Amino acid sequence: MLNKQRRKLIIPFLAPSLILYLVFFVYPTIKGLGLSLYQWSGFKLPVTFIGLENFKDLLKDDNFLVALKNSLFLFFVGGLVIFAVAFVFTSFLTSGIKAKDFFRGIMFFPNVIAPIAVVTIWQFIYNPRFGLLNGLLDVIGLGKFGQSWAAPGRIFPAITVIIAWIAIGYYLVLLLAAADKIPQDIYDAGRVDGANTWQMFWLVTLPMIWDVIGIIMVLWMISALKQFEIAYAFSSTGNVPVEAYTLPIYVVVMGFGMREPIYKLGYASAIGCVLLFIVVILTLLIRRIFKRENLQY
Amino acid sequence: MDANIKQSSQRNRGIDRLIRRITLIPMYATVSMWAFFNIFVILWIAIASFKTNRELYANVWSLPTSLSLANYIKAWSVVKMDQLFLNSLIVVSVSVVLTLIVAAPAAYILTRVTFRGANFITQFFTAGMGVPAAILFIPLFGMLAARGWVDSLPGLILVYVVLSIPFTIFLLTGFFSTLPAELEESAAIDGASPLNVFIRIMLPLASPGLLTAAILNFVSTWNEYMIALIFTTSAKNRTISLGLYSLQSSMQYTGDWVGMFAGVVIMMVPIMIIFVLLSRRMISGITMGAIK
Amino acid sequence: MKKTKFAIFVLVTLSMVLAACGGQATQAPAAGATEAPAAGATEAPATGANVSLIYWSMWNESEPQADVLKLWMSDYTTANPNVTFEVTWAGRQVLTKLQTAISAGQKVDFLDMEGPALRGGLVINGQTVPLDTYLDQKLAGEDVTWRSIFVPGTLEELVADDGSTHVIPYELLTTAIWYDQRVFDRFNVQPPTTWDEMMAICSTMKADNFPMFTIEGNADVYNAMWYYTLIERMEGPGKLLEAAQDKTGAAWDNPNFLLAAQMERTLWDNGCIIEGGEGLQWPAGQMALANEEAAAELVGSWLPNEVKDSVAPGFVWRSFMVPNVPGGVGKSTDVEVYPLGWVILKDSQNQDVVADFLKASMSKAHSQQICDMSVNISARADTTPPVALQDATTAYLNATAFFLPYDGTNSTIPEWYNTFLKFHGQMFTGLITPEAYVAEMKAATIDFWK
Repeated sequence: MLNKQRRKLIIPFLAPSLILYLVFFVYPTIKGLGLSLYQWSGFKLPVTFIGLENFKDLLKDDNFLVALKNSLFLFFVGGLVIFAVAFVFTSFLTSGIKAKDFFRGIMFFPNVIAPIAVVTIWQFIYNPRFGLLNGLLDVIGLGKFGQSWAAPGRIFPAITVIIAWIAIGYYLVLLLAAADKIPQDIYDAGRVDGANTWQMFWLVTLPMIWDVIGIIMVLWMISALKQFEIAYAFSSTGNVPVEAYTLPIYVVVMGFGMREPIYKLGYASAIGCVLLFIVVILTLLIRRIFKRENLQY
Repeated sequence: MDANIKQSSQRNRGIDRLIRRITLIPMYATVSMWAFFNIFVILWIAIASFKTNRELYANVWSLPTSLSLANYIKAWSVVKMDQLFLNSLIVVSVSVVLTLIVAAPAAYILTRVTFRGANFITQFFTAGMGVPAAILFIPLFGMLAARGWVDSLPGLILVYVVLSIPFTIFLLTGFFSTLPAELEESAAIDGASPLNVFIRIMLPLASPGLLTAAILNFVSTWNEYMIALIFTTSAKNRTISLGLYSLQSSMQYTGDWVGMFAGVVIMMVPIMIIFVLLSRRMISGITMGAIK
Repeated sequence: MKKTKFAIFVLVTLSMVLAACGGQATQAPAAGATEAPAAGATEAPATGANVSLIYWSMWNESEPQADVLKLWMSDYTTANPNVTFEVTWAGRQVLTKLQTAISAGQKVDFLDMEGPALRGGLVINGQTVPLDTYLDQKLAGEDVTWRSIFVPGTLEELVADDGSTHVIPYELLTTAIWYDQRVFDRFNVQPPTTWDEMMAICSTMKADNFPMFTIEGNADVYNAMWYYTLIERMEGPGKLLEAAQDKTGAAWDNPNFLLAAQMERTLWDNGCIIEGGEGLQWPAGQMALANEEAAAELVGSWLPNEVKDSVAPGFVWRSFMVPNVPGGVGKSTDVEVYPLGWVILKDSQNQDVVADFLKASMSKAHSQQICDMSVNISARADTTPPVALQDATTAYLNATAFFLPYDGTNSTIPEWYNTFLKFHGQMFTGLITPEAYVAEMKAATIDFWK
């Protein structure tokens, strides 16, 4: 009966967001993506239809391949690191450590600092002359491993470390939230059976939040593929080195240029299309892997 | 015999507890090291904001010789951060609240009422999360400019709300679907109208989820500058993230790094406060179940 | 259930229609509630009707150049009370913002930005007005034409393809090797005019384990300065651009293109560049110069101003241009001309008024303010430069030839230029060999023109 009554609410409850979404999001997106079939400089000049030319050019474009490689590297390798560490920390923080809230807050904190500040201090940490990383290696006697961490050949892994550092806190918070919902008696039962922390996490916590992890993975994938701010902050005086490109950065570079204007909006839209396509594919993949019956408890 | 078993099992429990305590130590150590590093980063930024550029250049890691507020005074008066701060506060708070107002009812309906297409609509909303924002800029700007809504705070709020809808609905539908239905059923049986059920029962129950969405949206919108850059022009409509951005982009001609760090700290403070105050409420009891 | 589905369908259709209707309206010029009143701003000349000029500037409001421009605007309004200004301090992204604004019909009268960007972004796209008629007019209260007051070469370098002048510079940047006089004194060396002299200075310093040069590892735009300047010294101005526009790529077989890259690597091999330089992220590179841990840096003329608060007290700025190379066409007195200035947009209804303002702001007194207040070189030749930029200004006035930054590739073929930055950066920091670099550039050039 409640269901039937609630039916009356469908329109008024759904309409505001649906209308806003359709008018100001979906419609511009379709227009924007549609631009990928054209060539346009953004000023009121003729917009010429060129069909799939942009996409063909993409395949031959080295810079696009670098951006693609970086974005996927961030998702897979970065994701691996982030979730390995986040899982470990989740198991630690759910095993009865005190001041759990404090630790959680501190770990989340990097998400709050403006990217430019984060990148600046990390660049100083990476600095080959007075940086903390080389300094630390010296102190513990591994000085010979010290090097130019952010040199062009290594710049994207260096960026990935920074992003991972920030993201670990974010996903830790989400994982803890998910794990929190598991009733305490399940943990107690496990403890009585003699499980240690690691087993608890692996055999109890993880399976129970498996589908939630799937959702968190999707969030990470989207966030990794949309990564812009941190890599962009590695620019000096307005130009991002190509080795640091991610797909969204390349979209902006092609659409709006950096210091030098490059107005190729059609091409930029084509990159956006590819990005969206990858997101959709990966979402389906992730959902399939993590699909499970919803547990009620 | 019973007494023996009882004694030995007590001893076992004692040893167990000791072992557990010992295994906690490396955990404390790792987590503390990580926390220590994070605190170090925050402190460094704060300390840098009290230095002069000369001190920063001379030694990046040293403490300042004197704590001067010059950078903050400059940020406040020259960059006019007070006006920007106010703008950001208004824009971000209003858009966060408005997002919740439009998204929460939609998420509720999509999870509670089964109708054909409900699932599709949910997916439709969340698919928006995958769209790179840059694609939207020019078409959306054109639409808003035609209506005269650019370069205005309400226009900016509109854009932020619309862009937050996909993620918020994603979060809230996941959250709502795990809340128990019994309370609503019993309220309905008691004669409450569906609207009342939503407002009186559901919303309070959902407050951790709503708070989480609010905090996450606040954090991401507060630091956001690309959209603010494109959609505002006049100085009186700028947000604080743009203030920081202008400090950053004029670096090549002013070289004022410590001034920029002061700006960074000013920006950090409100979020720190919000997070410290609200994070406990936010996390307790929240979960995100699978979307059906 | 059917009713709900139907209702949603109506909702969706309605929304799309609404959106589409709004979309149509973007073609019409926007009136709207924006700050731009364009009121009464038709073909009326400066005298008489009230005019509000809409000016978008590349400066942020807190920068010294913004103060100078504000002064100019208020001086002009004092002299011409019917003219007011509506300025947007857009920052370096002014062209991006302009693009979105113009595509939506907003009105802007004029703007300023770095010259090459203006040329490549606006002039080439036909968005600006040729200003030659105004340039041939005399300046108020002076007996010289506007055109004649500029540092020679600065107007000519940014002309449009048809030879007309669209960009009026008010500030000049250049690239030079900036050095610390105290360090040079310590090693008892003089600024070189030939490459071999420079390498000799480098070894003198190297003997004391002191690097001559510092660099920013991630600043491809800075490191590329070595290359296009060396090509200019070897082949003369405009040759890199020619090579970039050679559809067959054959120009890259010229041994000088390889030689220039190899010479850059000898800087590294001979220890002339600070250790770990490839990993220095800006501003760490110039920090080394400011802290006197290196002697010099090849970079733009903004550097003295940029680090003026960070250098040790008593730091004396000097500069010299990249030295000439044996058998080269270009000389060490050839100067890179990097103007920064205004364009008037073609849709402006107030072109005469704007031009008058620009003229008035280039009076001697006003131009001097650029030097004094913002520590930059003024585009007007008869000003007194700031102390740190004296060497560079003298070089400008005595230049034997001019060339554009990146030989003009950044403004004419920005995509090629990005590729060039990438490969050059890789070669410079040792990721690829000079031979590989030349091969990649040749292939990329051919590809670019396909």
